[in-house]
Amino acid sequence: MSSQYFKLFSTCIPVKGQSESLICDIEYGQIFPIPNLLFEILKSNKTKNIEQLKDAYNGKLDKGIDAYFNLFAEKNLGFYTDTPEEFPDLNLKWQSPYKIRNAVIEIENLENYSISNTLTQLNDLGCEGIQIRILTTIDLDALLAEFECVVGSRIKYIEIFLPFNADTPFEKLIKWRNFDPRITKIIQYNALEEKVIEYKENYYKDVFFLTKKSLSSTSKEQYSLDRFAFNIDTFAEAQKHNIGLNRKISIDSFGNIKNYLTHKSTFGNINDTLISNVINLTEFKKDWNTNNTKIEKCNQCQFRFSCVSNVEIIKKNRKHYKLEECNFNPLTNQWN
Amino acid sequence: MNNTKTINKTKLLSKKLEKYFPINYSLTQSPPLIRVRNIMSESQFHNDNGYLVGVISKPISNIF
Repeated sequence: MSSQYFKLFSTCIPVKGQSESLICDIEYGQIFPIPNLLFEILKSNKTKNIEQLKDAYNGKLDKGIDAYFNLFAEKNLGFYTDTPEEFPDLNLKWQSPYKIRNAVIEIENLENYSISNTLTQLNDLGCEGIQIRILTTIDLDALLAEFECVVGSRIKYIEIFLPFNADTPFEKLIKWRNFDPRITKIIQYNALEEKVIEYKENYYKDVFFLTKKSLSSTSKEQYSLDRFAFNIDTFAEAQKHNIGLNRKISIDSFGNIKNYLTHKSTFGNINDTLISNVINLTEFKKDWNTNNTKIEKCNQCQFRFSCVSNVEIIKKNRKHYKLEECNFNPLTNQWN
Repeated sequence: MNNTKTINKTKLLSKKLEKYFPINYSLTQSPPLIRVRNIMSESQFHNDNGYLVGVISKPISNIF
């Protein structure tokens, strides 16, 4: 066996962190934490068979190498082979036909800007997902009328966050829920209780729940292991793009066009500016390609190809930083 | 001086090796395989004919 090679499956990709590394199984959405020393071994493993690999470490790691490789084979992360050249690495080149992939729309009233016009423009640009954040109690029937343009559109999913209102009949929300299959998530925030009304063992579809949490224009994002996206599309996009900001557009409650709601820069107002013009501006797209590998702290993190963060990126002395740091420290490998 | 450096380096390496590859290695000491949310495979959209028409690969934002 030792003259054989050990190969990880092409969708099981090691990622080095400052104090711990990962094998990301981007086909099955699994991760396997590994010591950095093992990451180095797996790197050398690409050109050496098992015997050569053990020799390279003077026989001191024989037991560990055998045990880990057997474990990987048992867990379906890799396999033994005599012909490693027949199993090339996965091509991680990423491209998308959509000019905009997702959007955040903030609504305070129905007068500040035309919601149906905004949705129509997003549809024309191929936008797949839209998050609607309603900040106040508004006439849901009138708002629903603005969504007529969504029926039969290219838009694939719409999430709706609205404030809890005890006076809103539940039937009205069900009407929203059943309006179109694209409405995949309805969350009522500022509720008196945490309650899941509909949940079907998946993340995006058929989710309808109440939460005590609040929402505002300055709401911060949360980071945790279960919020990361381990899949081929995201992992490939993250190689050269910022997976939070790339091809995203946000409209605040006044109609101002931004990369994301919490960012300071605005790029015109939706009332007099076409989204198609904004997304051609170099300044608007400047951080689309600033992936986590280019950002200080994130570049030391083993989750850098799966962490979706929309935080503003600042540049100081030719280095990129996130305006707000997350609660994971890659130096200590600890969550705060 | 050089010898001391080499010895220290070797000691450091040995410590690392002990931590990650204990002599009495047991598979139970290995880190667990963690199943995380695989948004793409769990969020597939099918049309009325049952054909896959789209998937969601990542959250738009992690607010809730």
